[in-house]
Amino acid sequence: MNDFHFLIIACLILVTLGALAAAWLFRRRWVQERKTEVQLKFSNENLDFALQSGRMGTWDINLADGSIQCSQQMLDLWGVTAREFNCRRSILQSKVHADDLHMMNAAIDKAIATDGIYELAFRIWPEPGKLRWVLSRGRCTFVPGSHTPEKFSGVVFDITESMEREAALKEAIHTRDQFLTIAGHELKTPLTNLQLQIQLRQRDLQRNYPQAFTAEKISAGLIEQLDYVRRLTHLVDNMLDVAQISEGRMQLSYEYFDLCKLIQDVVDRFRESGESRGVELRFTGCHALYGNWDWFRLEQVLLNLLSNAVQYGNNQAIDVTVKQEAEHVHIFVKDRGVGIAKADHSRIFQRFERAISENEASGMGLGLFIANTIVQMHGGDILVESEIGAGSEFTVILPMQQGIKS
Amino acid sequence: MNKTKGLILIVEDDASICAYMEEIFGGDGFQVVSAEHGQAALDLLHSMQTLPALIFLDLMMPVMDGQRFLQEIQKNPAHERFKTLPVVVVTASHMPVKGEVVAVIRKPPDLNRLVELAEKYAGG
Repeated sequence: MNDFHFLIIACLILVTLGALAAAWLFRRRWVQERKTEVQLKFSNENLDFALQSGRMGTWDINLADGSIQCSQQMLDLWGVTAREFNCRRSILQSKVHADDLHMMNAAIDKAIATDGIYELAFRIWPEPGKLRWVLSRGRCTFVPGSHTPEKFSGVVFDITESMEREAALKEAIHTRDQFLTIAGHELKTPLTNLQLQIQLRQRDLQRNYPQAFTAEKISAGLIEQLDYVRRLTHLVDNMLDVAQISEGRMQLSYEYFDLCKLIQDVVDRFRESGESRGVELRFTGCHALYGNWDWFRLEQVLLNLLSNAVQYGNNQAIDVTVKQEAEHVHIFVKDRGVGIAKADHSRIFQRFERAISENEASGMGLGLFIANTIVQMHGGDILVESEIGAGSEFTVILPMQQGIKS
Repeated sequence: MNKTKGLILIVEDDASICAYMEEIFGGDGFQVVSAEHGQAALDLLHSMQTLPALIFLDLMMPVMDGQRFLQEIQKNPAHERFKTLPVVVVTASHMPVKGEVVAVIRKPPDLNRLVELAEKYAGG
């Protein structure tokens, strides 16, 4: 083999090695590209999954021509089809609540003019009558080294549920605060009476004023004080009952008794306080109605209905009647007072509600809510028939099949 | 009874609180008149030739509450005559009072504090 042959062989070896190296490099690059492609696909799938899970749409505004690209998720949120949309911002803006549109455009302009950060919650109408809250977050990027806006893109997601929860929470806090104000006033009225009476008598003692301590005056003072203590007890009991009901802890203690006797007892007790106000309380009576109910709780229901009838009854006569049907007993409490507007009939059974404003009458607005809960726990119902100026008739319906004792 | 002491107006919807306050101030020689709400107090003031030296005012009342009564006498030109009458608010509320008052007393009020204010403004 001469030098020429050696040179040929060396060249062939070099060419082969070069081809092998090129093939290896090509394959390596191909593998890397495939790997990147797979990673990108995987990453995009993850992003899609995250966007879909978070019910999040994406948007991208072309600042040169004002057109906009949106993900399908965003179009779904807006209630717009791809054909309707056709990259037009005006289509999306037409669904933004009129009161929020100006605010939205101002926030976008501000982001472009300042630091590029955009975040805003606003309302949209995906379809007439269906209002949704959305939160949109975006970022405007600028050409490096200048303040020329380059790209403005971001995400948007549905926050309707959290906004509704927040509104409900605010409403609950407002109701609680209102209740505390009324409860404070109601508790302080008997406390003021007690304090003034006690301090007045202390002063009479210090001034050696015996006319203030006749048997008659002491007796009248004690009756008043007892009445204030009862009022305070009643208010506190109502507050405790509401807490029990709210926590689902209220329970009935059934016993076997004559419902007529209970009604008669309550009417007799009320007749005295009614007469002191010049209110006639009429009860037609009833025959023995034996069954299993909670005496204490039904007594509470009747006391509440009679107390309301006296308070709102314009000092007119109050009628209590009882009617027994096959499986139910109906107790009617009818007054001839101020009455309740039909629109308020269901509201008065709700917590902290009453037919007229807190400035017009005393009470915490708990009595009918508690009474209704008690009657419903017995499997019964309370109905009201009333109109403004025409008095009110409350009907307590109690089932008789509460287990007649065998 | 000391007849030189001034006239006090009590505006309070709870009849028995009103009666106790009348007994307290009456027993100390003040002349006392009362009204069950803001509107009744305005009507009463318009009918009076000699205005009270001091008003004790409840806030939560029917028809016209105490806050509205204060606004009426201090802002409404129709009640200009009553604009400078000293007012002591006696209330269960802890909300701030809007308007010019000489004192705010929380319920239940201390009898001695009530008398002290009555002496200061209507003591004669």
